[in-house]
Amino acid sequence: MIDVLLQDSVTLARFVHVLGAVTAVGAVLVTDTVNAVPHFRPAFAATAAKVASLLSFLVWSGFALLAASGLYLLQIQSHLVRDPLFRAKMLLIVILFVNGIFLNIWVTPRFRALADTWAEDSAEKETFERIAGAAAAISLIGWATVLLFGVLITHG
Amino acid sequence: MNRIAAACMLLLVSVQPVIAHTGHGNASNTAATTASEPLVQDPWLAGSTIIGAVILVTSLYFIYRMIRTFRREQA
Repeated sequence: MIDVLLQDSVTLARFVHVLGAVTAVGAVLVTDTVNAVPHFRPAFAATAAKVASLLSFLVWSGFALLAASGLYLLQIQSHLVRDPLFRAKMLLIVILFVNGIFLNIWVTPRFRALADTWAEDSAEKETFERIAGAAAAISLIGWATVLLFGVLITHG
Repeated sequence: MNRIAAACMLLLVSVQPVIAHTGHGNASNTAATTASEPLVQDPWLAGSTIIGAVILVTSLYFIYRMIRTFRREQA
């Protein structure tokens, strides 16, 4: 089994690609679930804010694995770029990438700053929840669609 | 400065197959290229590769930044 993986570079690259997808999508699912909890249990906000950066680390690790293996697979299977589904997937990846930078640079630091006073109702918290919720929805729906497109490109 | 150089190197290495693929990285092909030929023969392949390379470099930068933050918090 391991010999097959090592001998066939395409199979190995595909495995790394799936590993990256699983890591990124799994981390996004956990992030969105953990970040939704403080809305119902304000006392959990401080814990969620601490875990957020660790989960963000996992998302970027998944992104790195996906990009490295994707670059390799793209050179071997360059005909894929003619597939409209592949083009749609690339467009979604760009959106997810920009959204990920926004989550990392704006949402996570602001969440950390607001976590201590999360129990108090404020306009700032309400605005934050709305923006962060939209970014989280884009992330969740986007990653699920990318995963679906990936499966359809391979097996469709 | 070293980090920027490393990121640029990684970006160049990632994009290199596209340069080779389009024929502009090969000396003999470059000589045969005429002015009427497009610079990039497959813009989708070139675009996808550049996007992948940018995502790879940015991801590694964020990973590096987070590891540095974790270390600082531990210290």
